[in-house]
Amino acid sequence: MNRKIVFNPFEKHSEITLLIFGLTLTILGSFIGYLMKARFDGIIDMHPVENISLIEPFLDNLLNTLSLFVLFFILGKSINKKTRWVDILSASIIARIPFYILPLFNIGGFLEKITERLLESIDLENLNSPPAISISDMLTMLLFAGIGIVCLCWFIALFWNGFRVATNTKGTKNIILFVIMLIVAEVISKFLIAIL
Amino acid sequence: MNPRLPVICPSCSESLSVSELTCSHCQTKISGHFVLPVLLRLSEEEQQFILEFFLSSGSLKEMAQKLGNSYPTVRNKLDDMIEKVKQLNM
Repeated sequence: MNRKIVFNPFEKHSEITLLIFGLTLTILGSFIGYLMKARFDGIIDMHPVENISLIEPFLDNLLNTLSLFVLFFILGKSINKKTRWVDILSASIIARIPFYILPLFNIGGFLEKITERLLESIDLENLNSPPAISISDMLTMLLFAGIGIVCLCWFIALFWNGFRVATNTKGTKNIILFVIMLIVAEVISKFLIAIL
Repeated sequence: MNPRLPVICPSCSESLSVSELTCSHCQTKISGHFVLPVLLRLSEEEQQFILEFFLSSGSLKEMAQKLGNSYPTVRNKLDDMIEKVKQLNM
C-alpha cells in the first residue's frame, strides 16, 4: 500500500474526496462503536462500556471532530491567514479513522469482561499484593494497549500531515503549539462529552 | 537534448551571471556582466510550475487537477516560491 495514502492523503487528494471518505468511515466507525459497545470519550480515547445507546458514539465523534476542527482552525488561521476551514475539517475527520478500528477488539464485550476481571482481582484492602490476573488476560490487555498506541501514533501522523498541508506550517515553535493544542482539544472534548 | 542552463556555481554555490552573449546567425559576441533575471535563477521545476500557473490563467484549482495534487499542496508550493523570489530580489 502506498505510504502517502496511509499517512498523508492530504497532499494528493481533493478536499471533497477526503470529506466523503472520512464521513463514510466516521459513520461506519460510530456504528461499529455502538455494535461493539465502545465509547469514543475524547479525541484520543476509546473505552468499552456495559450499556450504550445508538446516539452516543455518533455524538462522541461529532464532538471530537468539532473540538479538533475549531481549535486547530483558530491555530491554523493564526499561523497562515490563507488556511481554509475545509482543509482543517477534512484533516480532523480523516485523522480520527484509526480509532474506529479499536472497537473491533471488543467483540461480544471481550475487552469489557477482561477489564472487569482485572478490577475484581485488585484487593483494595491490600494494594501491595499484585492482582491475581491470568497470563492470557494480561497478554490480551498488553496486545490491545500496543494496538492502541499504534493507532494513537497513526492519528498524530495523519493529523500533523493534514494540518501541515492546510497551513504550510514550518518550524519547531509550531510543532510545540500543535502538541499543546492537541492536549487542550483532548481536555475540551472529554469535558463536552461528559456534560452532554 | 537541450543542455540545462546552469544558474548556480558548482564550485562555491553562488549565483552565476552571464559574461558573454553570441548571435547564432553572424557569430557577433557581446561581452559584459549581466545578472540573470530572477525567473531564470529558479530551478527548472520551479520555472515549469510558473509556466503551468500562467497557462492555467492563475487558477490554482486547475493547476491542482493538472498536477494531481490537492489545492493546499499547490498553494503552499506557490507561497514558498513567492518567498524564494522575494529573497532573490533583495
